[in-house]
Order: sequence, then C-alpha cells, then structure tokens
Amino acid sequence: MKDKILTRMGDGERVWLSAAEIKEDIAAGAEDAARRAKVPPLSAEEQEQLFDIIADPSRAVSVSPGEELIVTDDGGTMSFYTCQDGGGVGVPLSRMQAILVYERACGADTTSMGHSDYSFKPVKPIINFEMNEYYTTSMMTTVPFFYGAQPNMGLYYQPDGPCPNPADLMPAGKIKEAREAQERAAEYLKKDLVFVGKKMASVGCEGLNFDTSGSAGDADFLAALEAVRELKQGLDHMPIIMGSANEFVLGMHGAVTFDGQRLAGMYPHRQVKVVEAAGADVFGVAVGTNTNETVPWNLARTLTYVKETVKTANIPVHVNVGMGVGGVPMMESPPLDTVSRVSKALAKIGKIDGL
Amino acid sequence: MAWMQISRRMKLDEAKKYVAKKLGVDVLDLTNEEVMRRLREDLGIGIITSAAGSPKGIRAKIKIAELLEIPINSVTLFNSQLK
Repeated sequence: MKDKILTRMGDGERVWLSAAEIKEDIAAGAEDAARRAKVPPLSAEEQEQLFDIIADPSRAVSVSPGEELIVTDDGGTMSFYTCQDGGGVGVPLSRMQAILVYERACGADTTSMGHSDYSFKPVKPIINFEMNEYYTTSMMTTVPFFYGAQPNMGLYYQPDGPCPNPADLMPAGKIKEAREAQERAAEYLKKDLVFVGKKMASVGCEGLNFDTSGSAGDADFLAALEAVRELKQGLDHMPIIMGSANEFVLGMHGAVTFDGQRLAGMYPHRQVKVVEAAGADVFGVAVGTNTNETVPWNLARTLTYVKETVKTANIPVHVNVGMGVGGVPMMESPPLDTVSRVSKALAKIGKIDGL
Repeated sequence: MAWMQISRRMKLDEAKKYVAKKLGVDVLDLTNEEVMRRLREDLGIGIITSAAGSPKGIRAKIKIAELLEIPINSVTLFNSQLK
C-alpha cells in the first residue's frame, strides 16, 4: 500500500487510493454538485485543501484553536438509552439523565429532547407529559436546550393517518387526488407543529428543532415553513432550527410554493432563503451520502452545496453530519477518521457556523 | 456562542466576538480551558465539574441571560414566577 492513502467508501468500507485517484474523485464530486445545483464548483485551491485534509495520515484530524464550531443535535441524547434502531447504545438512563450526561460529561454546546418516535404527531396526545419533562429538565440544564422532532408528514397518510396515501394514488394515475391528499396532510402537520410549539413555549422552551423537514416531500417542507412563520409571528421569542431532509426538496407534490417560490427541486442555497424568510434562526443543510462513491467524492459534493449556502445565508448554517449525510458513510457507527475529516473540511472550506 | 446564534441569528465569527467582548477575553481564549474554568466560576455561569453550591442549571442561565443581554425563555418563565 506504499504511496496509497487510506480512505473509505460511502458505505464505510476502507479503501486505499492513490493521490491521483483521490484528486479525481474530489473534482468529480464537486462537479456533480455544481451541475445539479447550478452553483460554482470548488476552486482548485479548495480542492487541494480538501485533498490535504483527506490525505492527513492521522486517524483523527481537527481545526486550529479559535476555529471550533457549535454543535446542535437531532435527538442525540436518545443515543444513550435507545437501541440499535436509533443508533442507541442501550444504557438504562432516563431522558433527563441522558441530557445531563451529554451536556456535562460530553461537554455539549447545546442539547435537546424529543419523543422516542422523533415525530411531532405522536407528541400531541402526550403533550402534557412532554411539557412536564421539558420544564423539569430545563431547570437543570445550562446550555441551550431544544425540543425537537421531524415534521414527518408520512404519518398523516393511511393506514397511519387520515389522508389517502399518495404512494397508492400516484401509481394509479390519480395525480390530482395525490396532490390534494398532500395538501390536506400538510394542513394537519402545520397545525400539529404549531400546537406543540406553542405548548412547549408555555413552559419556557428555549428553542425548537424542526429536523429533517421535507422528508415526505415539498408539501412536508411547506408545512414546516408555514409553522415556523406562524410560531415566530405568534410568540415573543422562540428560537427555531429548521433542517432539511435532502440536498434538494423532493417534488412529491411538485407545485406547492412558499412566498411564490416553488419548493420542489430546491437546493440548499435556495432552501436557506425560504427558511430565513419564514423566520427560522438556524438552517440545517442535509446532503445524502452516495454509498457507491468514495468519501472524497461525497465530501467534495457536500462542500460544493454548503459553500454556496453559507455564502447566500444571513442566518447561521449547521450541516448534518450524521449517519449517511454530509459525506459521512451510511453506517450505524460512523468512523472517527471520516467524521473528523468531514467536520474539519466543513469548517475550513465550507466556512460553516456549526454541525 | 450557541445562545447568540439562536437568539440573534449571529454567524459564528460574530457570535465569538460578541461573547468574547462580553466576557472580557480574546476570542482564542473562549476555548482555553485554563482561562475559562476560572472565569466561568467567577461569573457564576456554570463550570464543567460539579462543585457543591456553585451555580448550574437555571441559576447559571439567569447569569448568562444577563451577561449576554438576551432573552432565555426558561429564565423568563422562572423570573416571572418569583414575582
């Protein structure tokens, strides 16, 4: 393996590549994102900088003092007490204990709590339980403490919810009916997001996280945007993080708009502008990792989207670097070598505000 | 810095400068444990280790809100209950 550099594929498999192969992948990944989002690719200098980060022989890499980032999470504390399905390690801790361990033992910048299903819909019938636990825990925490979940509009479709399922309607050619079902589901979702947000605000909630917005498509993204706007207009002070589900908004509906802008097909540098206009305080970029490509390819692709997003944004941008996003391999135990390289590259080249 | 990002939509560099100014330290010292341990204790904004009787949780957040001149909802609610 002399003269080869150890890196990984998007599924986590270790591979030895030559410097030329890595540089080729960096250029190709950047070009792929630039072509799709119609944004500039990484410059030659940035590509060289990324190569240096990837080729660093150390197992873990980091930034220089003064370049540290803020970290927010999407139910990260659940990883202490949940099982493999949630990336959890199964330690028998209560939610409050997990939050305090994360804050104090892990030195977290922020922390959060959410329903174990990590969706807003199931919170509604147990809202008083959630308010009580949030309130009690907020007396103990020192760092910003969020209540978060995914909008997850899929839960409003049959058989789990009241609306006809577009996944059944569309293959039958019932496009109009599928769109109507999504519009109805979006109304239900928005109502629930606002309901939960206002209830949590009444117990002194320090911030909300609408995580993975748009997972069920553009109508899901729209419901989150409208809920952010309504909460921001109706409450004196409620910090909100809105994170996306993918590098482009899936056009499951195809025609819904926010402030006159069609959401379907919107890439991060445009997503951030509608998120900003809705009133959110932080935008979370999500870029899917392609498991058939290398980490250099995926990371260059992520950086190309992110760089333009940060340049365009007037609010802080935090990039998702969990399992299978942001260039991190799609696996349940993201490797330190890759996570640290992704984080460093996003800080140094992406100029992000947080992870 | 996270409080400034979420309360005033500050980008990272601006948030670091704002907090450093409020604390009276250089930006580089914000992550210098040797400086921040003592400073956090002096200001009553919470320290990493648990020292009996030292401010943490809501007490530390009251001080953070005052120091950074930002609203923190849990603090606002708590203070309203003291009246």
